[in-house]
Amino acid sequence: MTIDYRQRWVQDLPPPGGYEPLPFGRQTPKMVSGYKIFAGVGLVISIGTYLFINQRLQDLRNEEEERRRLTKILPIIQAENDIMFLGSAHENVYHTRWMPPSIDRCGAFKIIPQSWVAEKKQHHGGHH
Amino acid sequence: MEPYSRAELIVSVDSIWSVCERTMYAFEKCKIDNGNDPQACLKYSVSVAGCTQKIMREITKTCKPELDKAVHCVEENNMRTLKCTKETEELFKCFKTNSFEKLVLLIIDLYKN
Repeated sequence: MTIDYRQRWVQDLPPPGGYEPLPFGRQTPKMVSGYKIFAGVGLVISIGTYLFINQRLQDLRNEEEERRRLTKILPIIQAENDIMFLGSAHENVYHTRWMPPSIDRCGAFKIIPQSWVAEKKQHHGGHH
Repeated sequence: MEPYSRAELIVSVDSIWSVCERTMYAFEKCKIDNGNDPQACLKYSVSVAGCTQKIMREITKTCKPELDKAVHCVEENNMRTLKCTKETEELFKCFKTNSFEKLVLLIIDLYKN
């Protein structure tokens, strides 16, 4: 590349007719009406509520169906449980009833002569 | 008496009820009439348990793969059967085609004797 140094100097100048005016004023976006925003929010909320309630009702219906199916196996479980219960050793084999706890009266009758006690013991033992 | 899990029972509930429906109703009626005494309804308990045992044995003998698939599906879906309708229907179809008629003949014989 060669540069021709013999060319004449040319000054940069604005285009003919001048530049466009600069947009230096305040730039604001196109305004949406408040009523429109309000209506849009209401629409979104109502759609969401509708979907939510629909899903909730469907879930409840599903739960009910599940419970209906579960009730069908309850008699089976009940019957097996009854049989297992009757087969187990649930009955009380002792045939006893509750009694008040006996008081430990050892030494309560120390004034009684020991010979009497021995006599009574012997007498008591003799019967058996 | 073999113990069957809840998943197995709930999956094959259609097959069981297709045969043992009258037994179940008789058992429930006895329970309503006689309260919660297991001794009073022992006859019906034995019949319900026996019918269920027979059918479950039949299913585990003839429709083992279908049963396993359905049980796996139910256990994976938090014991919910609504998502496993396809598997349960397949199991019921297998039971109907393979064992239902045989069982019905067997039960008719039992009623005759």
